[in-house]
Amino acid sequence: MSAAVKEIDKVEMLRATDILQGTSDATLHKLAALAKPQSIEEGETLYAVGDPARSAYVVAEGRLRFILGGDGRPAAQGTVIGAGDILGWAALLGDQPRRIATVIALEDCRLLDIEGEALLRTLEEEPRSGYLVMCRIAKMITQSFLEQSAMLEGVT
Amino acid sequence: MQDSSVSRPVQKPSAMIEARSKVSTCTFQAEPHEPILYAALRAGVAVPYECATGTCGTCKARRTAGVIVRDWPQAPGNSYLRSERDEVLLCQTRALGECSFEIPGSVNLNSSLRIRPQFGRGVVTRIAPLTADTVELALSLDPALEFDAGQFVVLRVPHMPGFRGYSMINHPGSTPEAKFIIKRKPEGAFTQWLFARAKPGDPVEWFGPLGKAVFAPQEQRTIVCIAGGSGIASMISILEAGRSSRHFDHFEADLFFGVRTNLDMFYLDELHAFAEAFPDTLQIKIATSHDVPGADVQERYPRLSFEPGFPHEIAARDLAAKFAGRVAYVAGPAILVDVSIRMLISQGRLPVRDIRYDKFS
Repeated sequence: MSAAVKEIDKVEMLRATDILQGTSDATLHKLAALAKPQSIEEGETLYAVGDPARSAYVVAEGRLRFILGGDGRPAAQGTVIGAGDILGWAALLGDQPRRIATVIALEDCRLLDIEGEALLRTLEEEPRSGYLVMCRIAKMITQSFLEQSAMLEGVT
Repeated sequence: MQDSSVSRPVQKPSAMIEARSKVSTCTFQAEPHEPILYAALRAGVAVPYECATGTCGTCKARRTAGVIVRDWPQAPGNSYLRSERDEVLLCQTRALGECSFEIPGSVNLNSSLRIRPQFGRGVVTRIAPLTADTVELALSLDPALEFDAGQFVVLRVPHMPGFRGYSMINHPGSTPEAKFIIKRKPEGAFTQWLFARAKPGDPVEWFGPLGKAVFAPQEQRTIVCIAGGSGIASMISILEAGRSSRHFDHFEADLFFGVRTNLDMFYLDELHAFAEAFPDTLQIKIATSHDVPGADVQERYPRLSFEPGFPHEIAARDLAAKFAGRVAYVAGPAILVDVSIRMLISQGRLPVRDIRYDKFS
């Protein structure tokens, strides 16, 4: 992705994601200012299980695949994710978080990289948007936990 | 050397395959009947793979030239492909002639495999029930199978498409007879055959060994094993290797074996014998996820311990401060492998290189 991606394009990319829907323009502009364009080629690993979780990513173009764990996202969303989705929320959780999934590009992808600590600070500064986003993350983790429990019920 | 005076059926010639990644290019021959992945592995070409049976999508490649046949259009792993870009799973694709493929990523295709897999023939020698829905299958093999503890082979029976992966229980090394634990799958054609129609003498084709979750006593490490259901197979092989090498004389090992209920327990005699042989270093715990362990098994197997719960949860609690420095082996249903790996990373703080598993169910 060209480094010359316009700020307004970043805002629209962020606005299009489920997890940031309804957040204020001010929040989106702050996040857009933090977002760094990144490209990843088909077959390359964005991050692997156990890596330090420093950033969350918005997918602007292309598809990626989760392997293991689903990164806390409900299984119903599948293990393939594409444009408009956000991944890597472990960057917002806990102290020195580590990745619980491996993510590999199924095709050439363009992403926005948002550093986790900076993202958290922004959400603190924008409490209404921050609350909305954290509610969605909590819901995602709860769903993931419930689905995992249900799946475990059916095995061994 | 062929005897030209003997009349032979016309054989389709093998095809030259080129596999190219960003960092290396390899060529190898593929027979018309074999998946291209298997041909690559036979030739020592390290194409990425995990299940080798169409599920995981790891052996994805893009065809750039040549005519191919796709064996299983409904393979679950196809969900990771874009057919308009000529992407295929190499484990489900055969070449009808010279072909070229691009392997995604910076993959070094030059293999460092200790044992190259091969095709072989097998004959069913025994099918012994272990529980209501699990059997031990024994096959005599030609040629003998050489493998490392923790590896698996893929099996296929005549007139039934597709291979299925199963771990060997045996002592690793070279074996003329391999044993497998196989759980019935309600919609699985292979297990329907095995549970309803298979009998001693029936032929089976195999390819292997496969898999990277290998136990090597020479690493001289303390280990932890977490297995669910038929995943115990590779752990038995690991215990065999640890026993014969006297690894457990010097290094601790903990095995957590998860089953649903008391009725689903099996191999308790064998596991008890392992625990009895190394009382100071080898701890084996049976976890029942949907039952409370019966007093009778606890009395009958005093060297084993029993506890209700999931094996990864019990392992997390039992080894809370004792994970450091261990190598972990995980096998069983995919979801159990997933949650165990999460636990080993988040609670056990194990580096990923020390967590070994092959997801092929």
